[in-house]
Amino acid sequence: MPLVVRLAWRNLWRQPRRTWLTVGAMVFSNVLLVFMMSLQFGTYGLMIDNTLQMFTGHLQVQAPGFKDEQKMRLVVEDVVATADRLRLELQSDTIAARATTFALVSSEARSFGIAIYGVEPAYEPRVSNIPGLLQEGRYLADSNATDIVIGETLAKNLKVGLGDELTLLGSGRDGSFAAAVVTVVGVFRSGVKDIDRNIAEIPLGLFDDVFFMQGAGHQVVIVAPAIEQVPALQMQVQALLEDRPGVVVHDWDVLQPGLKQAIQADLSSAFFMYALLVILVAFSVLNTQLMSVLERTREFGITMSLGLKPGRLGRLVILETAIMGLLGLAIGASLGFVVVSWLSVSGFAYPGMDEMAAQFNLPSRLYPQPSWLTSFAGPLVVFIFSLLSALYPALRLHWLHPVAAMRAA
Amino acid sequence: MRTLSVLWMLAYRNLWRNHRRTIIMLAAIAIGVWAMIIMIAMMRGMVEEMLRDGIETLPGHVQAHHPDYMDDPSISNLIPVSDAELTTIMQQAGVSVWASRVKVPAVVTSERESRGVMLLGIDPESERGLTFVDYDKVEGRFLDGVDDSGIVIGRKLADKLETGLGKRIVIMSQNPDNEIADRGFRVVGLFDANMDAIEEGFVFIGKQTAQTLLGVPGMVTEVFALGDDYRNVDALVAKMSVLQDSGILVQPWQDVDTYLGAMVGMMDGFVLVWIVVIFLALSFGLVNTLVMAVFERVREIGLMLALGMKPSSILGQIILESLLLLAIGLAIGNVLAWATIKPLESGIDVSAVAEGMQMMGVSSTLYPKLTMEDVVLTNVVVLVLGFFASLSPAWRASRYEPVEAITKV
Amino acid sequence: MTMRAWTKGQDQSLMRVIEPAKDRGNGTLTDGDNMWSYAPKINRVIKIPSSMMGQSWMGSDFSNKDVSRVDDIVDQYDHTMLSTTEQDGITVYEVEAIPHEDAAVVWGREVLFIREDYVVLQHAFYDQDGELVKKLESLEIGEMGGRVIAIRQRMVKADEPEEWTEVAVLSVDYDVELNDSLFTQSNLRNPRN
Repeated sequence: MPLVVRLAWRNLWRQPRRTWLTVGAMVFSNVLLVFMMSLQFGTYGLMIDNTLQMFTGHLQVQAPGFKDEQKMRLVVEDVVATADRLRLELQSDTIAARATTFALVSSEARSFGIAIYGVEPAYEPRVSNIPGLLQEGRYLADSNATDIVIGETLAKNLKVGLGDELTLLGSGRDGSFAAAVVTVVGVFRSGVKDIDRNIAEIPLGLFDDVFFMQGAGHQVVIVAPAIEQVPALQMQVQALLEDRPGVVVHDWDVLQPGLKQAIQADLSSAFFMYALLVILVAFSVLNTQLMSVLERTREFGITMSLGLKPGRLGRLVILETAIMGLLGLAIGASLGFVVVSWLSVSGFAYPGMDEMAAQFNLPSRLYPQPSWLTSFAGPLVVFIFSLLSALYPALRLHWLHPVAAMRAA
Repeated sequence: MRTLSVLWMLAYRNLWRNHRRTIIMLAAIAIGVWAMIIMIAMMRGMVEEMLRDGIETLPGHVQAHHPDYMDDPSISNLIPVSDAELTTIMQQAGVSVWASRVKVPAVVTSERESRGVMLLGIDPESERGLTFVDYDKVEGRFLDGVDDSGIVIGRKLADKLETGLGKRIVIMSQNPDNEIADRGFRVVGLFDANMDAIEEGFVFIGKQTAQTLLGVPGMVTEVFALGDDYRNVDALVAKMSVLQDSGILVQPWQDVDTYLGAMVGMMDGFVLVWIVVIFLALSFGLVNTLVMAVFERVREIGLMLALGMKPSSILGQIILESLLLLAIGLAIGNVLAWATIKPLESGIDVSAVAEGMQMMGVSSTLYPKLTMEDVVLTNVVVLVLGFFASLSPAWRASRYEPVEAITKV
Repeated sequence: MTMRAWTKGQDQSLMRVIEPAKDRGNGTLTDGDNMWSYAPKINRVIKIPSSMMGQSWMGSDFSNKDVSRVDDIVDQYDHTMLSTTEQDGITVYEVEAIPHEDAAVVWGREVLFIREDYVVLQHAFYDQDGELVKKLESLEIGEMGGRVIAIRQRMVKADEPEEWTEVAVLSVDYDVELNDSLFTQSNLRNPRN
């Protein structure tokens, strides 16, 4: 190992307290940064998942143009077979087929135009929260039964309850008259007024029958195990469906455009905050560095009078800082990683989260995931700043007069 | 007492003797304080922004409706008293900023398309600045009165309908007798909104025009009012509670949009976490700085001890120095923070940063919000923290063995 | 689809489906702006709320409103005679109808070719930029039930010329005595014929 490095290392450990204080500052700050960034991304993940898991899912297979205009004739042919195939190929059961139309639902008292969804009772609970939000009754079971599940507000407006009959009236896929009588078997409450008022679900088999779908549907909803896996999953699904020209695969960003916008807005504000935090942290590190180097003026004076050239002394100083910086980076990032890993298991709850959770059936804890990005981004910046902080004192050495330096107090 | 004043003088002079060290320490404290105040202001600003948007969309801090309207927002659930009576009641209750509207679902049709929307019959003058529409930014013009015969729609809606300024579109809704109420309207203005859902979902006509169209002369479906502080609406609710005597349901915005209400709680929690993190980062830097300072002065302190200064005086002096530093640093930090925030009160555009990180689309503006409580809190914490931080090293310094200390390298 | 229909005056009409078998017995009753639907399959009479009036009637290119409201063309427009020509010895009037400012009509203008015996040869709908959106054409004109009428009419959308809705009258009787009880919900549900 080059002499300079050995000298630098020895210098550091000649004054263990000073060294540890500086490294300690870096480690502490780095852990904080890793913690905050993981939390931030964890929160986004939570927000996205909460919204998507209600009904939309991460990916949907649809006919082209359907996302803009939900026209009855824009179908995915053999929708259940398609879903089956995807379930098999992707080894996943968080995939469900749906068909939908806008139709009239009538009780004795009133009629409303709503969106009716034909769903696969066995799989829908895996892609949507709604089946889990039943307040009364049960969810759909038999794919051909004349059952219907409606939102609480719709039930109230129609003045119906469990066991009451509703009439559905609409147009079939071929445009013909479609009508059916169904029985209310379940009432759900999602907490989102629009959903509780405007959505009803019937079994896909019944939907196919009533609306003359001939096996076609409108969506295959896919939920990925984690939001990060969505892009890869999308490519997989697209590849699997290459032999079907009449379908497209949309991701959640396309399906719910406002969501990503909201997060991006938040992220760019947050970026600003992180910048400030890093400045704060880097500055305190810089300050510590600066002070310690300046306080060693006498020591440097001696060293220089013993023959060490300013250039080499400068390199020595920078090297000392670099070693400390690396220590701070390594220990800080690792500790941060450990903290986040622990949180990814035990969870973290912001104060106030449980209220949200109770009301909207959202998870009450956040589980941030450790990742390379969050573990190293912050610490790296701190490392760079601490290197920069060694520059001034290193440069200053050039016009240091050894004798004057030695007399410094 | 004399000792104290001597100590003060010594402390003061000591600081300026080694101005480089002092300046570095001052800088550390000042920047720390500056960063902390700014970050807190930014965070509060972010929360404010988000909520303000939400409240403008509702709109209002307090809303009043027929008790069944929230479930079934139709023309059959009018506010039981007439608009004229409302004006009298609100006036007597001392509510000054409020407006009433006719808000019902309707279908809007163009030559080629039709869409379901919310029809808003408003009094443009009384709603100016209270809702999400910026009258000055409307393309074309906004409504010029309650009997305006034109309609203002969102730009995205115009696109979807394949219509535009100056063209006629047809609004179809129903009157209380369940009969069709329809009429053609010329599009006189196009508005832009932050969210697509709003730009596509709301259309504005004059209140009187709406009342005539829907066959409900002098009646309205919704009342909203604004107070001074969205966080504290109890006073306003109390004033408006007199409406309940007429069978009207009065609700604060948290009940109207329960999601938004719960979000506030969570955002506050989020801000709290950030504040804790910032304090930790700051405090470490502070402690670090002060400890370092004492270490580096070992020789100097040893000399003072050797010259006869009492250990307790050393303790006192170092503490005083720290307090002095803190006080000056705080002062500078506060001034810097104020100087930075004041000019930026009209908003910081972070879209440049966002684009740099390949996040396109949303340009977000940050509005810092400085409150007296936050400033006081920051100052108090820094002072107290600094005081305790300086205790340990000061104590250790007072226990140095003079001879050892002087000969330290 | 084959249907049987009774109309009285401008406001009342009853329509019942005969073919195809799966739709047989479905009926629609209109009285002014109100419309009710009935299907034997569900054995219910449902009132169509006004929000659904814009939806297509029976999946055709006609909307529910088109079917129920026929006389708006007279009240809500200003008319101009564009030309007078002769065809097979019969005078044909070309009439331009421009909707009133506040009329609940989306069209920029409509142009009708009407014969002097009141048979509509063509009814074209233009958007507010002057572009043709859809056109109703009488393909076959002849005598039926004692009057000269358009026997076959076709509605085509300008941007989808391959699709159309065609209405053909198979047989018709005019000036028949029709009881008001024919145009009631109970009759809609329990047909006597």
